[in-house]
Amino acid sequence: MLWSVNVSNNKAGINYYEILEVSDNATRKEIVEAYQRAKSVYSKDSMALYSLYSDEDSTNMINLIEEAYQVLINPQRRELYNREHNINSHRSVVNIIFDKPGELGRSFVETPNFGEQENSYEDPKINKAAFKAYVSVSKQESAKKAPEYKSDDTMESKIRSEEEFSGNFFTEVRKYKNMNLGYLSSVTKVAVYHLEALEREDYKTLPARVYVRGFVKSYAQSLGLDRDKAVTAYMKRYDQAFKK
Amino acid sequence: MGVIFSKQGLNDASSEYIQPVTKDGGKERVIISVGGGKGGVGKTLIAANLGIMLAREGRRVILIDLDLGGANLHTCLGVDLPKSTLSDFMQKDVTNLSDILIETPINNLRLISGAQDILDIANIKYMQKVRFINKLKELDADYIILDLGAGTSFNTLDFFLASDIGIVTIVPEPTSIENVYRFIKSAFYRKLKNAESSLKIKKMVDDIMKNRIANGISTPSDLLKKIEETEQDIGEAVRKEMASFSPKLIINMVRSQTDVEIGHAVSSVCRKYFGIETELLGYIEYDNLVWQSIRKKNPVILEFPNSKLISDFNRVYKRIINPNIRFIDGALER
Repeated sequence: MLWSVNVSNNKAGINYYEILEVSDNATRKEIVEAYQRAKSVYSKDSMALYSLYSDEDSTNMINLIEEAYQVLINPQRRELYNREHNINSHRSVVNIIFDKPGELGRSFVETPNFGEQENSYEDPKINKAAFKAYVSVSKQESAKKAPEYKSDDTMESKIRSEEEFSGNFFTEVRKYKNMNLGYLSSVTKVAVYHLEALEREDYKTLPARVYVRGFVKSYAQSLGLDRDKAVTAYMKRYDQAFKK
Repeated sequence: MGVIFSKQGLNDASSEYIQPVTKDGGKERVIISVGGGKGGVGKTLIAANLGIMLAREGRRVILIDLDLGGANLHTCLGVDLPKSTLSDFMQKDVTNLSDILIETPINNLRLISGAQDILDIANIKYMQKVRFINKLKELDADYIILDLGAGTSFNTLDFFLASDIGIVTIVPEPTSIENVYRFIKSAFYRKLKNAESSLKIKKMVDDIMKNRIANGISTPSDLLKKIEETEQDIGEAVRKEMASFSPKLIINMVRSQTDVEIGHAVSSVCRKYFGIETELLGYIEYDNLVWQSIRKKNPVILEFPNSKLISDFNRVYKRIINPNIRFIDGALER
């Protein structure tokens, strides 16, 4: 099965979300749209590749895009991939399917229909017991990686009572928990420069709102913060900054 | 590149306008450069119209023609062949850049011309360049716009990197795309070289590049990843440094929706290949009015103020001066 090859190969440095340029929390619709866009950008006859990509590079990229799409469009494969790569998308399989029940969830449950792409959609036959065992091992592995830190009562109480969740606060907690941005990036699968921009509250260099929201969520979760509160507070400031 | 944009510091009726402020609340002068590697893609047109639009809103603007050897910004602005040019400054006939400022027919807009220069941009010596960049920052203006000219000489790249907003002009043709990537790649490595000396990582980069095949490095983005793998802290510092390199893209002479989409495609390729984030400012449709206005030696914005071209340009202009307005949908507006 293709999916098992993809997941177990675990190619270093390749992130399917980055390949399709979607956030960890992307909906099915976003993934389909991103897939179509990426296919057109990296096809052999795309002018945007001229002088940088050879035909072979283009073929490799298209294969990678197909691979990323095959995994991310399938809720179970995606969940497995997220576990394998320590990606906290904070969505269970059910959430991914029923993301927007009106337009997407229903179509998935009944007859999925995404035009041409549906032809390449193959339903995985996953051995549920093996899947569970695999997920639990992945969980243990990922649990090992968090750095150790010395607990401090003042800091812990500050974290509990935090309301603002500013970029500076994130930096403070990150340092307190002995996490550097490289580690956090590997856990959240968000590029280091985005995490930095998040900490600086440098909204100008951050990508579109939907991505920022996903980043804050992953970031807060990885620091062990109340992610919902963090997202609400952070995005409120973000939105205010963009109001004229 | 790295101006702090803020809504403070300006009480202005035009609420869409954002004036960068210094840390103590004063107004910051913004240096904008317009480059793109290839000739004939509209750099001068964009620089001139941008300057005129800012000047009309009451900003004090200085346009500088750095297209040495091919300078014609003065012609686009309807200014006669200037007597004082950059050569006078470079050859130290005058001390300050303000001594070679030329008034233009447009209020608030002045010009430093590179016309009739015996110098070629590539021949400006290092000390001349440093002196120029230092004096640039002494000029009394709100906005300084550099029309960079074609090519990827170190001097052109350094002017681009010294600016707060670096604009890259693309036309939807393979030749332009090729030159744009060459320009971005050269600027990327130039910036990395500067970071190498400040972060003392020259040896590391040399070692990685020596074994580039074994290290699996085929793109600048791979190189950044490898530096991060080798030394995480240094990798973070390099990423941070390179994150400030964020060229803004304008797609000029657009004729179809496919042409508009090239902007998004180039952005995507820059992200994957170079590991850098570009910002798409928008597109400008192809318009015959441009050559008509050039023939009349009158800026297109003054000759045809109500044209589609100018309304396209106006949208791009708003995104240049207000980074909070983003180009999202990318649909061609008819």
